[in-house]
Amino acid sequence: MRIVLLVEGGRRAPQALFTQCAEWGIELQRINLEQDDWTNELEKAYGLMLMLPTWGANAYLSPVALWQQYLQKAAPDIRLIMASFQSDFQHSNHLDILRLTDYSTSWWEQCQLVGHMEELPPLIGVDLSEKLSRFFAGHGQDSIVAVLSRIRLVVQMASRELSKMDTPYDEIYRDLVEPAELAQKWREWRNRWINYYPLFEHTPIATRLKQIAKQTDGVEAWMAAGGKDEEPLRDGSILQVLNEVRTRLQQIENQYVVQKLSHTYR
Amino acid sequence: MSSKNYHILIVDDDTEFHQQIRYAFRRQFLFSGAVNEQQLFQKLEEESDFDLLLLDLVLDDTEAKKGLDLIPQVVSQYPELPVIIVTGDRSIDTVVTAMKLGAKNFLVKDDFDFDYWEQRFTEVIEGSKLKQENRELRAEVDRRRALENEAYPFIGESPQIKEIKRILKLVSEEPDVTVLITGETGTGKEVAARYLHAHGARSKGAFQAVNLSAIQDTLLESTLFGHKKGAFTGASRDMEGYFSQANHGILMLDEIGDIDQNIQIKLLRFLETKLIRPVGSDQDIHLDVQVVTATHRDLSAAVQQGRFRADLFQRLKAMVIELPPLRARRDDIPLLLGHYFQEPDLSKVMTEGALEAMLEYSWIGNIRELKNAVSYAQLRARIQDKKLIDERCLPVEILNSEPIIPVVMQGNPAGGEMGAAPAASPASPKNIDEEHALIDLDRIEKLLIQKNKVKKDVAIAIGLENTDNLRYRIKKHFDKHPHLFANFPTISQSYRRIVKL
Amino acid sequence: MIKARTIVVVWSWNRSGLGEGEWHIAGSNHIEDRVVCLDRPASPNALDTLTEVLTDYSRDGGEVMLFLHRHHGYFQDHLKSLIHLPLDDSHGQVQCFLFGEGADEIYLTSNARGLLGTSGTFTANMIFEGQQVESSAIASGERRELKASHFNYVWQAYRQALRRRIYELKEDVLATLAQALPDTVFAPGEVYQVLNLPVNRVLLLRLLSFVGRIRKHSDLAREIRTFERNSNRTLTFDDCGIQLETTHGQAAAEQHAVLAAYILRNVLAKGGEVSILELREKFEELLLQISGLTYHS
Repeated sequence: MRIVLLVEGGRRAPQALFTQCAEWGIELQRINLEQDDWTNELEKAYGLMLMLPTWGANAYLSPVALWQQYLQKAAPDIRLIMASFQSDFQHSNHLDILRLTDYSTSWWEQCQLVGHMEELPPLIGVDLSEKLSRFFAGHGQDSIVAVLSRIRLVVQMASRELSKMDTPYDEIYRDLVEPAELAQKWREWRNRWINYYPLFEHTPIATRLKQIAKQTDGVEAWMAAGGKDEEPLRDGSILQVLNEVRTRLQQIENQYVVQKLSHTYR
Repeated sequence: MSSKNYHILIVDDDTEFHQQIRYAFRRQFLFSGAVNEQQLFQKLEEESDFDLLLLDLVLDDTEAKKGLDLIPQVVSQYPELPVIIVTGDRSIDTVVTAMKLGAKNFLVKDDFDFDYWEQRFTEVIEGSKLKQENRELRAEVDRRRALENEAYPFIGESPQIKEIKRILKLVSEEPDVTVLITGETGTGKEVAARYLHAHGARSKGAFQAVNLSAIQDTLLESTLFGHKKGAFTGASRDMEGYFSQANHGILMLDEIGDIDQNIQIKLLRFLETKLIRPVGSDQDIHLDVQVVTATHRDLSAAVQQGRFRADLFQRLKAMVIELPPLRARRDDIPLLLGHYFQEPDLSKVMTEGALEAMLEYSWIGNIRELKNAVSYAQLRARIQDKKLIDERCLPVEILNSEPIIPVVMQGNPAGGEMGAAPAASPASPKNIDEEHALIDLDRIEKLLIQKNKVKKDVAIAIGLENTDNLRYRIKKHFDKHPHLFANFPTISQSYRRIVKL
Repeated sequence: MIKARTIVVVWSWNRSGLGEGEWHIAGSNHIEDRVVCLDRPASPNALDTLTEVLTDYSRDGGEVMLFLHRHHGYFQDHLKSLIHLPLDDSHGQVQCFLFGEGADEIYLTSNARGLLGTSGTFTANMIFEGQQVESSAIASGERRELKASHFNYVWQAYRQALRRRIYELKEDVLATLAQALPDTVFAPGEVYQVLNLPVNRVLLLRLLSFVGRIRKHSDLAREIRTFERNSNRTLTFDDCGIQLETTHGQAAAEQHAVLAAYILRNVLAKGGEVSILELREKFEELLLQISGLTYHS
């Protein structure tokens, strides 16, 4: 039996899909993207099936381009199958869920490997590639990374003043931290985060975003208090969290967004 | 902590960013700020001491990259002010565009790192200052070179000089040809060499002129080829020689006939291989130098007498340019006078009589003698409080129409015989060597009088580097012709230690 | 020529103190964009005022979206009369929507780029993962400017609102009926039985709304509002046919009528068999008539 991994994407795949796959000699296995080890399943998989569009944040979403990008690096010999209720989707890897009996075993043979997939026709759903680009976009009110960068800028400067220059914290607070209104910036970060985070629940970056969410929880209290507490700055914990979050975000950006310049990729 | 305190102008619509950068770098830099285009140019007009412009690419709330548009404006109006763009947009296209428009570097707000940003600020500022200094230096070098060329104008419209200029221009197109300029002393051999340099492919390169006879023999090799530290007593550091200093340019070796065999060998080696070896070094250095030699001597005779190497002579005479004596091109005398008097209309400077006398004079010392005569006449006119130079202002030899040195010119001095010895008298030269020694000493005598015995001024007037060279020259003359010094009391007095009559 | 875009919101502005008036849009590429705040409970006078407002702002091709708050007494009949204003071709498109109870996309509580906050403001406080988060659509209170990204988002969302709502209905219906696969044909009344299951209650209500079978102030209306509030989604189709006609043309309205008839007869009643494929086809036909994107990023 060949194994095909299934991403239901917030929807419920009909039992008939599993039954039909079995008839084709395919074992359809649901994967839970919240678990870190799901990537281990890719090694033995013949294909990965997405139920499209996925559902999240009260909207139908299109994560195909992100999956394609991810799998092209992680498992280029896998088949990316797009299963949907759409009748007029013109692509050799599309499976019409309402017409399962129209397909045969040989259909699987003709499916393109993700490394060689032809261009996708327009898909209905919020374009998550576009959303991810906005997530990182350098300017404007969309970019969550922009907000984090401004917070990090202040924390970095304050940390340096404290640890390398021995500047008294009350001075640093007065001249740098307080004017930066960290609490408000942090609320803005939160505001934007809730706008984005739920969208990527059914994408390959879900786990990483979950890790980021957990990490940022750790600095929530300090940020909400406007950075009054000197100690977490002095011991470097705040900056460490922000740097790690930034690193994770950069990894995501490197992988999925058009290559950007950075003079300090670390 | 840097003590440089460079002044940085930040242009960003985000005032919070201004405040943060100022705070972070307050110990290292001075900051001024502008939030929009208008303020930027206002600041630039009001203050001229900015060392760096930190320019936000966006500059307003829209996505339009207003900062990008400003870069060419700033770069063209303020070329000395380097620009670093600060961007949140890390799109490669944007940054490449900005760099092409003239930005020196870029910084990304997302990637703030104190040390990195500080380094970039300093590097860009100092790199720009260095470039600016280099530009100024180059401009100064060009200016001085131009001045030098102005100081050595090749004056003359006589057919001979026109032809020589034409030939020199043609030769200048062959930057590797070795040129030999011959002619009596004072005919302008250095001027001709400079003319060659100014019109040729090597005009941007250095021009070095060396009077080989003015340099002590023991120091000549080192002076020409350089030396390594410790090569000899007194060599406390590595020194470049004239050859190295003239790399990519022209080296003029005047009085080439005066060099000894050792130097001749080394010069020949250079002409054959383009290699020199500094004294005390075991490494050859490859150089790109065009060699122009000059002499008043008869080199072919020197070759026959074994004093000059035949193979070197063959090399040197690849291109021979012979400068005529002044008396052979009297048409040029008024032009030369006009140049040295700095007045083309000689009627404003001298009487007809004085001019006539100068036109008829034989000018044994050629142009150098003419130049000295002009200085002398001007001084005399001032002393005598005369508006126009008349005959009484002229050197006595001109008035008498007799040079101090009786001229016995039999044929071309560069290729002719040594010449029959004239009737001996205390002032009469026995041979051409003595003749020229007399001319030289006479000139030095006059200059010492003129310059109130300030040896440095005399050395400069002659074209020597320093008073040591002058002293050496006088000693050489005394060593060879001590009997001549009776005629030169000022020299004798000024150089008592040498001239022991 | 860039058309002026106006969002008119009839809401409780006076209660918050912001009051009636115009707000401009900061940083917009469309200089004429604006939000007009009116606080007029439903009445003949109010309708006259709204008629004037719509006529005025739709002049010279200007486009208008009018939002009527249900708690101000507005309902579908008001929509009908306002949509059917006799405006000539020089006027731009006019769309009208009912909103209320914080379930609509226009609310900041529904999405971070909404316009309306709490009780007549442009600001909302929300709890997300146990933390208080403040959202605001105001760029400058002093200059009475709202953020362009919020304006644009609401404008786009409601431009596409119908298409999106219909698409989502289609997907949800097909996903529900697909559980019966490999069978693609349901016997008369069978689909209604499926829809009557508690788990499918919302879907049933949505279908009823789609075909215009939920009356104002009815229990069903209240029930669907509750679902909307709880899920932060707009699920109802206030006068879908009329909205389609005015925004997308006669063909769209006609296709809606065909689909609605099929649903009424076979899905919500025992009229005939339901072919899941035929149902999909009719939905897709309707969607073909509605131009534009379903979602924007």
